[in-house]
Amino acid sequence: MMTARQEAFRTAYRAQIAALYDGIVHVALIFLIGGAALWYCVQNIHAPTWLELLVIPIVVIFANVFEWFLHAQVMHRPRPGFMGIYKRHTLAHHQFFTEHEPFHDTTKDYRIVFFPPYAEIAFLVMASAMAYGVSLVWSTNAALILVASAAGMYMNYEFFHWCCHVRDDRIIKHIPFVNTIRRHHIAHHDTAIMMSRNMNLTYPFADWLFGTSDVQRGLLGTLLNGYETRFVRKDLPKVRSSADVTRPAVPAE
Amino acid sequence: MPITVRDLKPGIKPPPRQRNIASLVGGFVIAFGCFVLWLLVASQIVGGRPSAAIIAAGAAFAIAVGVWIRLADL
Repeated sequence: MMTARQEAFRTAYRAQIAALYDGIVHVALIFLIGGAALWYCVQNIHAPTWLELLVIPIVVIFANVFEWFLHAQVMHRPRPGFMGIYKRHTLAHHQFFTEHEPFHDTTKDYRIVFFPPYAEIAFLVMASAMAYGVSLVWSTNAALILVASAAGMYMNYEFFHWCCHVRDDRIIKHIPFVNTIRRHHIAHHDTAIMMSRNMNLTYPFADWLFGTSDVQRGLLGTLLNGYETRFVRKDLPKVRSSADVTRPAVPAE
Repeated sequence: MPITVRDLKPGIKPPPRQRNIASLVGGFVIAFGCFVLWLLVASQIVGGRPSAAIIAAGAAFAIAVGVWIRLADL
């Protein structure tokens, strides 16, 4: 159920979205850029060795820890030079979506669900810089696999995040990993734990590794937890927003 | 630039909409990125250096995307 505060924020936020913004174009750009980078890299990989293919799981794990770090230390912490990211995430995204009402209504709301497409360009440039180093000391195949994997992980991130904020879960709730991250991320939108728990957006591996998951399970249990709430820690902090408390007209006896 | 929760104060109207500097810088970044990707994909498809028409189309596409990012204030 949506609180009055959240409803007011949503109304004000939507009123500020530029008229020329289009959610479908936004999403199309993200997947067009990521898809083009992925396709180009794959086209130029020739007879990769098993050792070169090992770059894929390394990138997946590195990207997972990077996503965790960025979310915990930049998106939820006001760092000089990165205030725009903090404002956009903690002060806007987390006000628009709460654990009580975490779903978007229209494609205009994609403005606050997805990262701006230039974040993807920045991510691909970082991956390309690393890949250039890899190509110098190792092989071009490994470098291309690195960039392709990074592009894939970025699109994976955006898709999973959308799955967390879409209302209709008739299909999603049956898909392993997707159902896990959906419960995991919606729980993260609880203001009581948003600064400290459930920082992963793809697979809660780094949350398990660093002990920041809200569930107390082994690695496989954490990754495949789904909607299960039996394993949620009992010692999580709880807050009650005084702004939304409706005071009774007549004091209770 | 869309607001944050700090701009919402009881009884006070939110500030008027103005474009964020991020969408200006981002517009240039994405235009450059799109143009490079366009050239890479085109060279892969044609199997060599793309023609001037293809390069011009890529430039037009990249500029259009960059301008849209700014106008949409992303």
